[in-house]
Amino acid sequence: MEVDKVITLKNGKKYLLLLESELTLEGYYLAVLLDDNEEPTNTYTVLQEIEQNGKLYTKKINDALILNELLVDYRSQHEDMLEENKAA
Amino acid sequence: MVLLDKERNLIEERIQKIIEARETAPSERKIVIAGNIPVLEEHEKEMKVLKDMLKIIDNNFRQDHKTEYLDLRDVTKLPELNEKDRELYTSTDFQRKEELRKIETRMNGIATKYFSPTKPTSYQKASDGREINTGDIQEYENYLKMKDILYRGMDSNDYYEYFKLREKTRMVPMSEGQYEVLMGKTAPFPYEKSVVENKEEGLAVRSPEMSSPNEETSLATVQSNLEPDTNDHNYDDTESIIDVPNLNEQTPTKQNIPELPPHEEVEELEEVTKISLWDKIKKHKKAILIGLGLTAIAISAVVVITQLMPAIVAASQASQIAGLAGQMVSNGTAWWTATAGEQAALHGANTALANVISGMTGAASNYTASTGVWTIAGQALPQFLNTSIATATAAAGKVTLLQAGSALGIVGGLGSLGAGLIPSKDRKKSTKYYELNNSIEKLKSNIKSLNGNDQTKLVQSITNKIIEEDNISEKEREILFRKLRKLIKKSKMQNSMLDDKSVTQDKELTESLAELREQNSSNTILTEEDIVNIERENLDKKEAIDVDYTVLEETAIARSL
Repeated sequence: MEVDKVITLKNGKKYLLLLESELTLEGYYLAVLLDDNEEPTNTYTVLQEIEQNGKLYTKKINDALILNELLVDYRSQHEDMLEENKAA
Repeated sequence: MVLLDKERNLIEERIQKIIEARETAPSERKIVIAGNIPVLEEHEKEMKVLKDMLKIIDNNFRQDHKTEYLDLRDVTKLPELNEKDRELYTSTDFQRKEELRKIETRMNGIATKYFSPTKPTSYQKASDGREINTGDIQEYENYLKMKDILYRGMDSNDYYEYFKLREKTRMVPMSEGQYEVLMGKTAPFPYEKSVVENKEEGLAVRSPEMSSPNEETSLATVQSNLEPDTNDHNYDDTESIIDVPNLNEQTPTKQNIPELPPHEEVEELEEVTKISLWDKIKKHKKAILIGLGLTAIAISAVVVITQLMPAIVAASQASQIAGLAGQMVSNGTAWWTATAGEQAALHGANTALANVISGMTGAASNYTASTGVWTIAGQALPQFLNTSIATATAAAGKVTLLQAGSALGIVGGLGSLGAGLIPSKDRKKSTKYYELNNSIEKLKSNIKSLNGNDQTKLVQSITNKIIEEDNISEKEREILFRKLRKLIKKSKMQNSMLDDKSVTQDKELTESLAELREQNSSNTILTEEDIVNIERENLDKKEAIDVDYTVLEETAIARSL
């Protein structure tokens, strides 16, 4: 899984991966749900990338404590991005 | 709730007995982990079942099928229920009574805001004659309609009428299976929530002028499906919590229950069937999407932590407020490059954040449309942010949050306890980090054009630099290794599809990297400069190399020690 890519889950839901956490050794992605026209909705989530038996899975992270940890890293990346946008 | 409280006590007592059995057992007895608790092997199944039963009780006795709870209960050694109690645990009437009780609790929560010291300033008369805060009136009216349907025995032309009304409230979401139990009849067709949501709402848009009470629901959409709202502290705890299965596992049932890291539940996983490009994304659009996402997650995290751990919240609230204010400032920055629609969405996000801050502090927040300036507690937003950061910093100095966290067995450090919500103003990475990161990015963009040997050499070079660089923190080193590992892993996946020969070469490379590890910190085998002139060529099937990234991981650990 990679940032800026769309993943399609078995249940048909599509998510655009916006940021990846660099916080831990696990891959945590800030993702936005896409609608049928592949446009972003207002539904956001954090997805954890999990590999099992050669297949790729995601798990929705609802744990507030983990989300809280991830926020620091995501915010830092977002602020860098805003600064880059400003400079451009 | 008397019945369920009694049941909870029985379960907790049984859990305690199982723990005691493990503590007093001879050392040769096999111990396993069940429900995140070490237990004797013979109690493994029962412990898992007991935890599942607690989850059902915590979720307002919602069950996926009528006898789910009783089926679980039969596996345990809890005292048997009499027939009458068994009926209560299964019957639809019982479920409906519980539902009605929850609705009334919530309605009272909204209505009693009128008497709270930080009471809202604007009220409207609801259709039952009560004076209700303007911001909550739509939700309150939904509860009235839901009560009406419950009194009618769920009789409605639209099977999902109640379900739809419920989704527009801040009650814990209900699954379709649970709704079937509540309705007492099977659904005529599946409920397509996502289609309805997207068609009706789209990207949440709210301009400053859209402040009529009927549109409060659309404002709430900015908070995403991760929400609920924090403003109503009168709600009872179990009903205000969003559905967070892992947190139930992390909340100690008794103080002396040891907590272990949560294990992965296979059934929660969703398989990824396709990964594709998304060509619509633009830089500024992405920044805005991320800003909105962070807003949603920040609110969600604050809300759940607030509700689950009031003791910790008392200490960390200042940090959380600073974090939320920081997010408002970020959204404000993004506003300048946003389109009109996005600007409205960002304003909606900031309105939601301001509401949460007001709810937490009791201070009024105000937006002046003519100047575009937010004021909170009488201060302009940037000043409020500075004040709250200063307060949070002072609070963090006084309170040993980290110790409190480890005593509770909570994952992570200060971030777990709210400090993670402090804006990352002073958390910029070092210059050296960015230089090394740049090298990895360069490798990433060129890796396909390098042959296996050159890939290896370049990876070795960057690895050496990361290991030897003294001007980066251990955290930064860890991040860089993670990036490198990920890149190698990706390259490995691509190469493994090319040729079986890669296996042999993988072994050779592993050995050579192992040698490198032994020599590291004193001998740099290759510098990045040495690599610059390496001739690039197209990836040759026969030259493909499978890099063992675990070697690098071990190297990283060795360095950090």
